[in-house]
Amino acid sequence: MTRLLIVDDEKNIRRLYESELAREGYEVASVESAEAALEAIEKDPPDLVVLDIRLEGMDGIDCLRSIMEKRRDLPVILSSAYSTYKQDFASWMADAYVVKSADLSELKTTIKTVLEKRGKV
Amino acid sequence: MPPFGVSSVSTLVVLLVLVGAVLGGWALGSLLARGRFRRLHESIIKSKRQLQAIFDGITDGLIIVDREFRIVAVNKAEAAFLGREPHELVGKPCYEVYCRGDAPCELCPAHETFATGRVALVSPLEHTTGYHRKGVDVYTFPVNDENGVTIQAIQYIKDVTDRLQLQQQLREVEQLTGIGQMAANVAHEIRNPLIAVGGFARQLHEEMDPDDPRREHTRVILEEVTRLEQILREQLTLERHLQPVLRPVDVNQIIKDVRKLVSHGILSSGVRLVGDLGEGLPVTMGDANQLKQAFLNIINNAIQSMPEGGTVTVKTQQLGQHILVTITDTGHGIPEEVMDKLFVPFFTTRKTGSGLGLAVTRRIIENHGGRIDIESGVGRGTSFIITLPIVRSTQQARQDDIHRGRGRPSTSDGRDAAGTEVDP
Repeated sequence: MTRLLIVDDEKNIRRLYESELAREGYEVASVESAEAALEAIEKDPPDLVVLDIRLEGMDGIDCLRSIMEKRRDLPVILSSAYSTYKQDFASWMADAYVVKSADLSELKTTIKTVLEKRGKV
Repeated sequence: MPPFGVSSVSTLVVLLVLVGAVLGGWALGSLLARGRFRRLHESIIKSKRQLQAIFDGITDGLIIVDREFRIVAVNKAEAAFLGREPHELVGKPCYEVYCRGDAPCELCPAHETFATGRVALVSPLEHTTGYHRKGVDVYTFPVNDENGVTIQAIQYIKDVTDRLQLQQQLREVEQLTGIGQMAANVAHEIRNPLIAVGGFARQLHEEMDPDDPRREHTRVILEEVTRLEQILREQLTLERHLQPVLRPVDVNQIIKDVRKLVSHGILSSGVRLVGDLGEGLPVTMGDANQLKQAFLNIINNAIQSMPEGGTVTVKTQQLGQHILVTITDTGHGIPEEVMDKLFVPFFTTRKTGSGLGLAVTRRIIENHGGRIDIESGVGRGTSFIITLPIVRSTQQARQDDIHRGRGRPSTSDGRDAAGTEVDP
């Protein structure tokens, strides 16, 4: 089963993603900070990370940089309510960028596309 | 003893010779002195002509006034701006010419120069005549007599219209960016809970039996959530307009431009601005105007943090794939309790500050993929360290690749979006 790691500091967003993505047949774990994400990736790497940009402490962009340094093979999708990050240079390092929405269909399609492209399915 | 006759003849001869020598010497001396005088006179005339040429050659306005504020001299540029010939202005009180008043203007920096014997500055002033209008900085420099008393003041009227226009533009960008950022912050705060509400409503909606009458309620929830999301997206449009317009920029040139913008205030504030610009800094992609504003904000802050004077050093250097711009002041340093709030919009320690300067600065630097670090301690001064990634244009990247023997830049990972490329 494909394993996803959700990184978001909003508890209810984590719940929503877990519940919605589990329905799509993924095994979903979630953490609330970049630090916890790096620890989780170190211990037990998932197949894909959905990473929020605005986080308390280390932000998503720095977290992405750390992941790139340690595990270039790990696909990362950046997700943020902040649509302007889409134009930021740093976010181009990620495999994809999804603007958060109550309609999760874009996120679901993007996860699928990235996994296929990275040969993880 | 020789006889008187002989002696008196020889005395006479001696006297005549003496008188002749004195007269001849005088005539010769007078001739020589006249030559010296002529040369001196010529050299004075020459210096005067040179000074007049410099005086008239300067394209900014120059006038010299005496202690009664009467115009002693005025250069061609200033006379032309006033629509007069220089000789028509000489002898007139400057306040009559400039303010059509009957007493020296209160704002005139010459008051200070006459009182202190020092250079004074008033900035900016509006200089209007007929249809012409320009923004000016007015400096006054003392002219002292041999006893050190200031008898005249040279007024240097510098046209700074371009600078004022640019400052105005920057202020507008700053305000818009500030408002945009606030809107974005609010949008972000509202969006997250909204996504949770809408997301779970959607799940409920899909789980319900198609005939369930409550589906109408969940449909309304979803519709309204979609509408709210749309409103938030529109709120962010303003911010999106402020995304940097990327062109190849030379960071050193930007610093030089900023220097021009701030240097007018330096003379009077007693702050020295020192540049330590790294040689061979590579060109990077960036928005020159936004970067100018970002650096200007930090430098202005530094200057204002040193009311009793000091030094601001701007250093640029390349460090790996980054350009570092370090702006260091010799001020009091930033107290720890202020440090955390430094980049918060509308936070300010100054009475006249908008509280947007550093918030906008950070936004600009982050939009360029960079970051700002601060090193400061009370009594130790402050360093703002701006790190910008070196971003090459696709064209540059291609050229570099040709030099390295590769035909074209790799696009297989699809990461060189929008015609530019980031070195990770």
